[in-house]
Amino acid sequence: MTSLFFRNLKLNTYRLLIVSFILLAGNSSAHHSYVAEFEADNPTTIEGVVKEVWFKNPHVRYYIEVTDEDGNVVIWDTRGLTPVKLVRQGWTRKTIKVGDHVKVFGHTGRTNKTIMSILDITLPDGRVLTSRSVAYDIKDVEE
Amino acid sequence: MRSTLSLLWASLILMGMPVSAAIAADADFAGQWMIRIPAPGVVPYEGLLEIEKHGDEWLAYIENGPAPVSIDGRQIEITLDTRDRQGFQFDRLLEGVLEDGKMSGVLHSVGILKTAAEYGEDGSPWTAVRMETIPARTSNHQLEDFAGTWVGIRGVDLRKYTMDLTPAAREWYAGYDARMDEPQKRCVSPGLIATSTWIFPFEIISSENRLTMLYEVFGLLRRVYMNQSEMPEFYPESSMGFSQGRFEDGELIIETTLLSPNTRDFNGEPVGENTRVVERYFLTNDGTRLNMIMVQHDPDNYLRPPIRRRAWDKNDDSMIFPFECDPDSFFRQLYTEGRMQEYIDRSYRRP
Repeated sequence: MTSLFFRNLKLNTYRLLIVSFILLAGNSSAHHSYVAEFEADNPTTIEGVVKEVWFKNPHVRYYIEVTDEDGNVVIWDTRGLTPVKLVRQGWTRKTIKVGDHVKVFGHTGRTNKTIMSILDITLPDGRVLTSRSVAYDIKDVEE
Repeated sequence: MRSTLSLLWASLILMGMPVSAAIAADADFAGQWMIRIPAPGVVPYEGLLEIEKHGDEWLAYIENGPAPVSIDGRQIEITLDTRDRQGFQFDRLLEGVLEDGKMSGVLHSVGILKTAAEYGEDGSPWTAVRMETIPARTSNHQLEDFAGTWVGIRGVDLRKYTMDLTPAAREWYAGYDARMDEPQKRCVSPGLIATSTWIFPFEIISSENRLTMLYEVFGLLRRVYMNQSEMPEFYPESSMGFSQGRFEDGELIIETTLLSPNTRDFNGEPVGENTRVVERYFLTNDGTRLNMIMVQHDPDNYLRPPIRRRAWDKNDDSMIFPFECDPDSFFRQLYTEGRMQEYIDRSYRRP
């Protein structure tokens, strides 16, 4: 009984150390990699009209005009995967056009609150395109 | 002396670890192991695990990067820091037990996002066997069998996130700002290591005394000289370096030097100008899958050489797409965020 108690105590202490390590690592690396630019938690949805399509490497961008809760018009800079990955899923330059009303779900910027890394885009006809670097089958998308 | 021994015995008993078990555990865990994680939807992840004991402290390294470890009797917990496909960091906690000379257990994903492609891997089993028990690879393949178009497949590489940096590299890395310093953001080649380990397809063309590798990502081109025993003095350094190849026992081995300084992956750890990269390419028996193990020898920056892995399936019907890159959107963002001057001031970070 005593040894089990000490074993559990040791494991719990170790787990506490691991959690501390993860928290410290998270803070110290906040200026590195993807987390440098985007918030990991609480991906959100914006809705607006596409003002500009930039379908180029290294990442596609859609500049979207969004009217916020106070009635202010803001241009969001949203970005997805690289075009060579998207076109293999049937998502081409012509899939989303200037003037389309879209919903974009993704990670918002850490410091710049009007940038977004796209996870999914809902098209005007309700179809959902994904930009998650996974092999979703969206070949039914028409141009 | 007798009282010292008694104290040692008492301490071990209080720690919940019989003396015989403690001694056996020390002997059993130390050494080199091969981890295997058959996660859903991917080719099983694999990686080198090395466990050492220094005094009372256990140390572990995965793919030659530090991995916090706890050993209690025959139980083990290892933390592998990694990143998801999108670039967000999370940890793989490997909980397991040593039995009959093998480790096995369950993987727990810690801090993983629900939106990550890797989210479903939590609860996957894992195993580790001693390196010396793994049979040597055998192959009857010829060099020509490596020619063709190869399409990257999911899995294999554990994407160990942090490596064992030297003090100088640690200092350099501390000042890294991915928002402005990441090469590919401004359409600069991500370099040999990133190019070869990302999932994009590539093509190998075999000709006399030379292999030509055409990578989709950034449209990069690489020549591997099979008849060059010495590196020419006049060859310029570049992101893909100078590559000398040789063919041994059915495997293609490539050594690359003359690499320009770069980063090895998303987190920005460095690739130094004195780096020597050794890649081993080998085929499955049916010749349809190409595997690669890459070791980055860079003692200026790493105390242990980082290891990466990748696998591709042969698909000669697949096309390599053009990859022209335009940095306009990157500079436009810097301008709108008012960081253009800061970017210019950081030019020393981009040698």
